Amino acid sequence: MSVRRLDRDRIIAILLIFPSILAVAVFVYAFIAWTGWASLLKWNDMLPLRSLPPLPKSWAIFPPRAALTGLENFVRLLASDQRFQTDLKNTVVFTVLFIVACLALGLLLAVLLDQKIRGEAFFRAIFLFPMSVSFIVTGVVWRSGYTMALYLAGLRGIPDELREAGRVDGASEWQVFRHITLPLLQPVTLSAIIILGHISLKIFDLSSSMTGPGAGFSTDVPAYYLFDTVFRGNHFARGAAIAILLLLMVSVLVVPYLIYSYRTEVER
Amino acid sequence: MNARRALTGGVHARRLLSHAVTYVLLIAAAIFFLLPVYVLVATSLKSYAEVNLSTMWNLPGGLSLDSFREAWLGDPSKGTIGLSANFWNSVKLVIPGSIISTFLGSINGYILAKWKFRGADVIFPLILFGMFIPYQSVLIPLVSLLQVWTRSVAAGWIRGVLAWQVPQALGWLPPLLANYIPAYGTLGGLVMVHVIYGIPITTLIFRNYYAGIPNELVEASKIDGAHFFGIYRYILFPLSVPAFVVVLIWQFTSIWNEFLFAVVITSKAEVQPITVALNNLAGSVIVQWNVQMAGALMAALPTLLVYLILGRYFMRGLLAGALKG
Repeated sequence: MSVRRLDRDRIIAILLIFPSILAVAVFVYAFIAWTGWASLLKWNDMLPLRSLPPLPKSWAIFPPRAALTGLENFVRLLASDQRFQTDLKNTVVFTVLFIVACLALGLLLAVLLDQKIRGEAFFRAIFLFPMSVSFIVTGVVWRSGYTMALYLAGLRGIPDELREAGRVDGASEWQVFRHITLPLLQPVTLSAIIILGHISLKIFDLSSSMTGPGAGFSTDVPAYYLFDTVFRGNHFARGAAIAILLLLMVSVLVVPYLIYSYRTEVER
Repeated sequence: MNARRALTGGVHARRLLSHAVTYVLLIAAAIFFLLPVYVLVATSLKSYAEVNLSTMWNLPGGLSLDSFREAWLGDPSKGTIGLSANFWNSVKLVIPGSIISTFLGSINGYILAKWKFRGADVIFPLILFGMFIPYQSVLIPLVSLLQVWTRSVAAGWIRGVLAWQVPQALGWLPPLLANYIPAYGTLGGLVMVHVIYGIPITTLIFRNYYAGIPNELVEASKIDGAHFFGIYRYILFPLSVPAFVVVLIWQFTSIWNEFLFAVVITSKAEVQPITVALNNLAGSVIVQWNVQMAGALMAALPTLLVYLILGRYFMRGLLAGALKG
């Protein structure tokens, strides 16, 4: 009797979570596969995607009958597309600067706030508020408030006794910070790099809310190029290839991290 | 004795000095963080003639709310319609969007934490991956699927709802309902997309929260005869009110500020949320910076208010969702 009831509950559980799993399977994985397939096609015709005229007969949910070109779209992007090369360079430079600036500023602010000072909540509120509004309203550097929050939580997690022990042994404040606090903050730094890195690789709102791609694509990024290509130029295959390259960059950053943090959780 | 006093005096002085340095740095950083807000507010209070890059930092000459009125209501002489309709679109989008995705995340988290089935340990990280993907990599199939679905099925539903005969007093109801049908170009379509792509983060936060609630509690109530829904309703749900607040705030903020999905799914101005309309404003030939900034302030107001009132939970959400960007 009780066993049967448990079985029924288990079935209810699976039935209830099934739509979510199906939605993620379709809207994340199947769509990525779709984009991956489209990126191998010679599919650069002009299909007006944003307006809704009657569709051509060949149009279906799947890309139309277009010739397979293999990796040609990727080769062209990486080897001869100047705009894309500029974009990649921009993204790398921007990502590195963004991560370094956010880490440095975030750590500095967190250490300052951790000095047991009055008005901590007030300052914390000021540093964090840009997180609550859109990129369109505030700039990027102001997002370092997020790193500050991560580091502050990390600092609060370090037992005082550890640092006290260092001081008793005659270490200066700087030595305590350098040899005790900083190494203990390493996991926080790792998460922060992953989070900031994937935000920065995907950055799109920023470029579009500022001047568009800028003169000579000086402020262009792949995400914006993709948008331009697909939704203004209708070069689907090229856009799909950019999307796949973006996804690969993000995955290189995120997948090892996901596996690593998942393993440590299972061990715990 | 004196020597010791001098020594502690020295330590004291040094501590005072270091505190002073801390405050100076913190205040400098605070000013740096508030600068964009200052420019935003100052520019929005200026008149169009007053706006100039070289006088960007100056205070406005007088307090004029004209740019707010123009941003909100538009200016018929310039053919602009204002952001008020888009603001209400955002409201109509964010309320169902954040409530539905929070409840969905809570149920998913409950199942993944307390009703582990075979394969759950593989499915969870696979779901999580969904929040890291650049949404550009799903955009083309998403739009085409939505368009095909709309053309073949949903358009008929929309026509049907709009043709619905209702008493005069309820005349507003059919258009509202039609707008919530999940389809390309409707608010309902955008709600659906936000709910689906919100599954990873909401599930993560709730799963981690429910994992922290002792299994004994669940086992004990099973022995007492509680079922799947009973355990959720009377034990886990009441315990997870803080998690609900965190996730609601998180989804409210993300959906309100979201731009990419909104710009590709809502093609018509009448359904566009405020982020898209604001961006269109910036893209027009002559950018009236005072009006633009007033609009940006109005677009930021709801999330800022939520942040000011529930900031504590917001910080918790940030840390809970430390995996999410």
